[in-house]
Amino acid sequence: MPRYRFPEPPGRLITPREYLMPRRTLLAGLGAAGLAMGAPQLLRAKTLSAQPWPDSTDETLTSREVATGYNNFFEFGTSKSDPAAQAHRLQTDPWTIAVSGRVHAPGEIGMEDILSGFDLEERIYRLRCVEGWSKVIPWIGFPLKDLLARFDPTSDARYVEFETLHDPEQMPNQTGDDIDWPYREGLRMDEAMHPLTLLAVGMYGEMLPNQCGAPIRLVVPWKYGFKSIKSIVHIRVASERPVSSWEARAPREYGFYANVNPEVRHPRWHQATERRLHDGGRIATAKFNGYGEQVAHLYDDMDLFEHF
Amino acid sequence: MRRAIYWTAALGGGLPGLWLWWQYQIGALGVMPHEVLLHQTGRFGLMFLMGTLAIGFAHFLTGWGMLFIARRPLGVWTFVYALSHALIWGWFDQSGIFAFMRMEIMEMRHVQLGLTALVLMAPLALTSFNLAQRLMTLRRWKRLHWLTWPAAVLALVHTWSVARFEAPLVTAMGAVLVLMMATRLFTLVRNRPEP
Repeated sequence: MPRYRFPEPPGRLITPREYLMPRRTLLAGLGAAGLAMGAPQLLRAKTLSAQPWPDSTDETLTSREVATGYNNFFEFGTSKSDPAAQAHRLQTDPWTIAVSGRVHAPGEIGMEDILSGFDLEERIYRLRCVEGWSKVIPWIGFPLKDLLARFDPTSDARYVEFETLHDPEQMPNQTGDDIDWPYREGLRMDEAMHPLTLLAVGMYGEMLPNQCGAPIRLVVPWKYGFKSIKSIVHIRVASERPVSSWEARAPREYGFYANVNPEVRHPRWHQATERRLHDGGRIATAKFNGYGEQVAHLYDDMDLFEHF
Repeated sequence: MRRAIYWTAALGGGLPGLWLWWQYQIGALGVMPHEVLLHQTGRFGLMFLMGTLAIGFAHFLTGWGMLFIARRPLGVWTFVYALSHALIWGWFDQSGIFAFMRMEIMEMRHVQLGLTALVLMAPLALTSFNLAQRLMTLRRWKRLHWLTWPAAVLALVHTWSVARFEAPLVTAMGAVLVLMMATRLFTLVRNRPEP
């Protein structure tokens, strides 16, 4: 039975435009005054501009409320509402990513240089969680390969490992032992260089909210969500395959590849269907989360039941 | 006194459900209201099941016979919450699509356990009126209601297999269940008429 919803008038009916506009002018004026007073960090725009990406899915977007209120980010707690409640502790400014390992030019890159140095695109991707739910999210970001190119991987670079910030002061659940912190993830080089593999800095037209992995996170749309590591501080290019955090914790349940695959079940549940939040109902899960045309060739010679 | 106990259990048992329904209606269940409905009805069912079984245990401890008056209404509410839990699963979680439900039932251990527990409780709920008790004789009625125990074990394993991090609580409930079962068996053996 559907829930009765009280009608909610839109904002424009509550505040007439003729009141709104002077207020905005006033705010803009205050903003300019603030800039003049040398406090630009207070005024840093939260909105991001990005080019629309032609291959975005046209499926209904998950509401921003659900996308930012129902998350797995165990650094802040294990329930779905913990990240939204706790992530305000995370300090995302200043932020740098260290790039090391099998690269000719190891070093660090700050968020300012990332935001100004790459062409941002808005890409609408499906996101499928290994737990059996999914979202459709308009990310803003740029391909990971563009960042890797700056550091010039060497010829024996075969894998890329990522690491989330490790600071229990900011991430309270890191005092617990749900995961061997910091959270780590990895990709094979061809996966990392794939044009679909995104480093996201924003969603819904704005900077990433903390609970969604601010200030910068990975998005690999054909893999289960836990591969898309959040709040990255370290990228290590490697010649040996790294072990990702969930793989280390439960190797029978979470593989290194973690490609979305309705035919390969998790030991405790099947992966044939998913709940599209909220509320697109339950739908059949597509192999490689529907990105098979672009990525299936990466796994041509692999047994996906063995390398799940 | 008898009436007070009976009606407190018979009406009070509906309060958690009423409260949940109200929270749902005012949109206070967060961004995923259907998931909260699913989890809460399951929790209520388990709580009431444990509560129903605890009546016998409380009688074992206190010897106060009036306690048994509350047992039947609590048992009926257990079934009501468990049934709501299953219906919410089918209607909201599985979108009412039978092919999906069938697949879940075939594939998922916790679904099999939960539904079996519900099936075991169904005859108990259906025979919850006085006439049924008289028609089938009190002795057979009581014997039938021993099904509550396997249903409780199944329900606990069902909960344990879906709990991700709250498993210690479920384990503790299991320990309590075993303790209560032991006291009930003890009473049963003690009260057995001499051959």
